[in-house]
Amino acid sequence: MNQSISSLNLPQNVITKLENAGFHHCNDVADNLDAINPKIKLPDWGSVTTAPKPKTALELCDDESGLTATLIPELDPLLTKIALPGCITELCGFPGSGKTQLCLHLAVGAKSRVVFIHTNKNLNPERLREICQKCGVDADATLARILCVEAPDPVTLTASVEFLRSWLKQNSVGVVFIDSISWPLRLQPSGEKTKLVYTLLQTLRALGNEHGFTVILTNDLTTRIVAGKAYNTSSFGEYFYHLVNNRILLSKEADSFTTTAFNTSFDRCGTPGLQKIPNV
Amino acid sequence: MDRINGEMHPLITKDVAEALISKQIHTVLDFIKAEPQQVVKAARLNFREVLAVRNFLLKKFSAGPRNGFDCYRDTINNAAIIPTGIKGVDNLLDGGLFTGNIYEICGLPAAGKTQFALNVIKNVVQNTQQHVYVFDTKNDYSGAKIKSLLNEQKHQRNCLSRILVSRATTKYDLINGLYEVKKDLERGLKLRLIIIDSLPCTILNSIDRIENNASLNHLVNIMRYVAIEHHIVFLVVNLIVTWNENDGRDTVEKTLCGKYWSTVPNTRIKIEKVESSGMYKVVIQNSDTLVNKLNSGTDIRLSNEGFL
Repeated sequence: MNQSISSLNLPQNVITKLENAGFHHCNDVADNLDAINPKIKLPDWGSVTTAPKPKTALELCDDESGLTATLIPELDPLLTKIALPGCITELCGFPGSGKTQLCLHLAVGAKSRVVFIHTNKNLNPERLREICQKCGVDADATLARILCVEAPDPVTLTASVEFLRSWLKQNSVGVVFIDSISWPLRLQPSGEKTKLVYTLLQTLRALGNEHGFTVILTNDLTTRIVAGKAYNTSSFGEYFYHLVNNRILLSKEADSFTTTAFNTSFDRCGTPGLQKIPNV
Repeated sequence: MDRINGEMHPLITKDVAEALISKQIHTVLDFIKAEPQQVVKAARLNFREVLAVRNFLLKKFSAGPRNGFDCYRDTINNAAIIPTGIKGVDNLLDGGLFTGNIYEICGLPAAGKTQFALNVIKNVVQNTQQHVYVFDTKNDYSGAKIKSLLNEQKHQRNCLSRILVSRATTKYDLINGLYEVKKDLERGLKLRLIIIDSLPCTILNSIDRIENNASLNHLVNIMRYVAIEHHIVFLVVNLIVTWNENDGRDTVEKTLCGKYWSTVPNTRIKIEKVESSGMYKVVIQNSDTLVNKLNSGTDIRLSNEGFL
């Protein structure tokens, strides 16, 4: 059974031109690349027909290394296990529960370069400096490691992810933060929302797999009604819940922050882990 | 539609092939559809030679019928049942997962679908010397997670080396990946189980249903070929989403990937978490072979070693 060229990621006009010239299968094109190239402009044939190389589970175990050291010792055991390259971790919570603060702490604590895509003007360089001072790290060096991109609407958000694709060819990054993912997409019609979220996150995931970085997002809580009962859950619904690997719910009680982990890619038994973090 | 080349038939030399292509007879189908007189002029062969080549191509490239008894004998010799390792589910499925079939496991998010697939993987690698191939579209299969599942220390490395994980994020990666698996199988890879976790992640990035169904069709074609020719079980993970009707009083569940996809799996299994008891309920929603078990289910428990 031969692979038909209409199953490839090629523009329709290229496929039509190839079929009119009598090439219907991938192996026919591969055998005659020199004859076709002058007449029909083909993209890089290798990249269009090859799939990502599979790895054995043993190789995965050897390669894996999650976020190292987060400056928050209570969260270290959880995050270093679940925030692996290519994984998407979602931080959700009510306004004021500490999502952006946690992102800033993680950005300061990550030893490698970090890309911080902020969408709702919550990024404050002064606060970053404050965190650096409290944790005793060099503020200037840390701030130089954190690259900030402002993306308040879906177009700029998509553009920043595409920018990452070409920028990563010459640079490396350890973590990509998006604070918050819900802000730019709130006003989109629901069909578009799903498509945008999936395109963005799957592109980031593919880049994360290739270049070895993890993605951390913040999301808001919304109310859903199921069978007459209302409950609070992250926005974007089940489609989003299915797509992220880990979900951490943050809440603030008096002077401390609590995190509860759901649907983690590691915790098989599904029991949420509760951690309390002091205010800093 | 194979392109005409010099290796097909002794009478079709490289020059003859080039002459035919220059006269717009590119593929085997074009050759057979064209008038023999036209081909005689184009290829500079005589009438009898053209007819001989025509008959040869017709025999080689058309779908000929197979003897039913040969089919039956082939199935008896090569088919296998892969038990899931979960007693209740194996009873429900009349023994386990049958090769040559496409199974779908669907459920709400965090219902236990990936856990179910991991259970089957554990059962296959620990009890046989077969490989398992996983198309992991959402990075849910990390090395650490798979390692913690296999508790037998001494053969752990051997088991881990037989689980192949491909991080395919788009539908094109999935299709290309399956054609590469087909090539590996032809070279002798001992594989009986292919898992796709999960299918919606590859098609929800486009709202163009025509494009999605076209890709799904290509995917299904290669899946069915690999499942039947190489006696493989496919386990595809799908998602169920809910929405409200009647002002929030009724909740409707919908299984994703569309109506075309819903006709593809041979058996559809639904898994859901029962909040009150902490158990998981597994139900057969649709099947072409387990007709007497439709809508019947079983309850399973999640423990440290996986589902029981």
